[in-house]
Amino acid sequence: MELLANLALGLETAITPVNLFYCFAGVFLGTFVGVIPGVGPLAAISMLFPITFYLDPTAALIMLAGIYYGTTYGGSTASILLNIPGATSAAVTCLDGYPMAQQGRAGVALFMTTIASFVGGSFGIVILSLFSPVIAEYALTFGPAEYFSLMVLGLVAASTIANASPSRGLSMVVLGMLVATVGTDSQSGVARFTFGSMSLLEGFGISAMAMGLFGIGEILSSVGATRSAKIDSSSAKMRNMLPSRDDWRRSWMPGLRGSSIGAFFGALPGTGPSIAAFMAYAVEKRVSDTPERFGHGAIEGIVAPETANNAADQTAFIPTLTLGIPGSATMALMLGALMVHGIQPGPTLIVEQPALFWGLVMSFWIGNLILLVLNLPLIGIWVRLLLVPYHYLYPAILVFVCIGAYSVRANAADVAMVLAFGVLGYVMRIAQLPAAPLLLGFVLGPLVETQFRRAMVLARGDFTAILERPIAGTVIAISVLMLVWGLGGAMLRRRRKILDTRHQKSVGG
Amino acid sequence: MLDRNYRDVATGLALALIGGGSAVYALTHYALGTVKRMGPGMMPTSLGVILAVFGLIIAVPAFFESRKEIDVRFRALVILSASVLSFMLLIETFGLIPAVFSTTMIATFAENKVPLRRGLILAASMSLLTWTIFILGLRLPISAFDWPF
Repeated sequence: MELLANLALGLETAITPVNLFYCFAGVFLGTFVGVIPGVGPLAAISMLFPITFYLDPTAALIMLAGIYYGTTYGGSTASILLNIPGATSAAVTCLDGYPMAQQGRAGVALFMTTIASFVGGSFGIVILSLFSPVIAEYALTFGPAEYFSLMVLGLVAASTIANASPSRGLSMVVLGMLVATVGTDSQSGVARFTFGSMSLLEGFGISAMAMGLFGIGEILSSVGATRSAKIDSSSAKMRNMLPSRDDWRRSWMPGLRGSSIGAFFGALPGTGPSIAAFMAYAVEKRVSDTPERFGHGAIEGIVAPETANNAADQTAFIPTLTLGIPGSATMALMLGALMVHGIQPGPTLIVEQPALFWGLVMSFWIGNLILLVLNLPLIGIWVRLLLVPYHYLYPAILVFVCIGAYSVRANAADVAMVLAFGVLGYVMRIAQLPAAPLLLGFVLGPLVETQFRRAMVLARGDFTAILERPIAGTVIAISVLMLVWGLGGAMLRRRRKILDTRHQKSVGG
Repeated sequence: MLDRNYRDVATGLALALIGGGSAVYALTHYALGTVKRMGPGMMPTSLGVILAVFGLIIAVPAFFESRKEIDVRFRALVILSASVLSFMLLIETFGLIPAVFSTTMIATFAENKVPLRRGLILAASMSLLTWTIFILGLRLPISAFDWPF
């Protein structure tokens, strides 16, 4: 049993006091920073990145990884309590988590999130250790056409599940991709839309965008608004934390589906916990007998994305460690941490550095266990955050966003950039344009462009050559179907609504 | 005034304008290339055109819909922007604690719900908290107090 021997080696590495300490430090800091809205894993990891230079590579990666999935645990807390995703991967959790909090069921939502995170994380780790070689080999056959088509599918899926109309979601994806073209073109080196500005050559920072759109944008639209929702202080009591039998019954299938979806999308480069969470939510909404409950506090709506993003957090390491391809900006930072220590991740990493690879895998599981133990007793504290009146809370959030924005590059101008994105987020809220697809389009835009250009070079400019590839063709077909379904469905609904009002008018008149 | 959904008309037209504008700018400034070897202009141009189309999809039906109420609060916008900008101006000149103090203090004025004395207490405790977390705990290379002169 080679796997067992490997896991034993991993456990041996992970259980050393030093590594155990950094695992604990990572997940604790991660949860703490994740709870603070507007500071996602990217900002948290960037902030703590310099510290890991002084650690040995295994400990460094264990700690950074702990921050990463710790933030995902904590990120959902902010989503549920404040309707601000603490991390992008927790954005979907807002949709049903916040309504649950408004109904006084915040404790239940947080409890289920913790359980779902642990289940999803554990599932992801099992997949990571069992299928890592298999998936790596499978993904090796992927060409640019496959990557391109899968990213298109992710974008289409994400924009059609946004609560607004599909055309609004899709327009935001496209806008995000357009914003991402600002800066130096990676293939030709041409500066696009920089208008001679040096600072725009690097393009816009994803952390500035996320913090602005979700952090400041939310504060701007909440401050001064009449807040009718009164928080029920009884939800902070332990009694109300335990999910009912009905909650459990509704949760286990979405949890299973979410874990699988998360493990799948986490492993694909370019997609990650955010897309996994979006996908899991979309699937749950489609298969549900009562889709109208979604967006109004359905427990499935938090269990599915939370299992998915935590499973994806773990499986996201598959392409990063086995192929050396980071699936996200966060994973790119992980890669950077390894390279600082002179380790080049790639197909040979598992063979050459078994202690590092399997030690990391086992530390994930220990970290998830720590998070479970850490979070269940602390739920009461998170819920008590709600009892602090918003007019004391928002200045504090604003301060944390400012410091987070500043600390990424120690650049004061970045703070103004975050503010600009915040104002944009506010305007978008007024116009009812969803912000999450914008961010997703922004992240995936450059990857889509690179892969598409590569694919077209390989196909000698013949787009049908992409469609003829079995995987790419199928995925593109699914995307087109989703697109037609989403846009066509919206058009039908609108026509029906107009007919209905006309009908009512004619009856009434 | 006709009963139209001006919010969506404006939204759609703004998006169409951004898309169209970007497409035209990219088309005139960057090489389009061929489908086989795409230049830097291909992606922005096509994205711009798609965005313009979606903008029109949003704007046109809105002409036939009824008006929607929108709620814009300029007071909060101006005060909160001032609060963030004060952080930007103070962080590198006077250090973390003055920056945090002023950001918190200005932000409390966005709603008339925090009395001045409590605002001061909040600002002071935020300064202490952020100093503890970021300088004492995370050891960020930011000075607590600084003097630019």
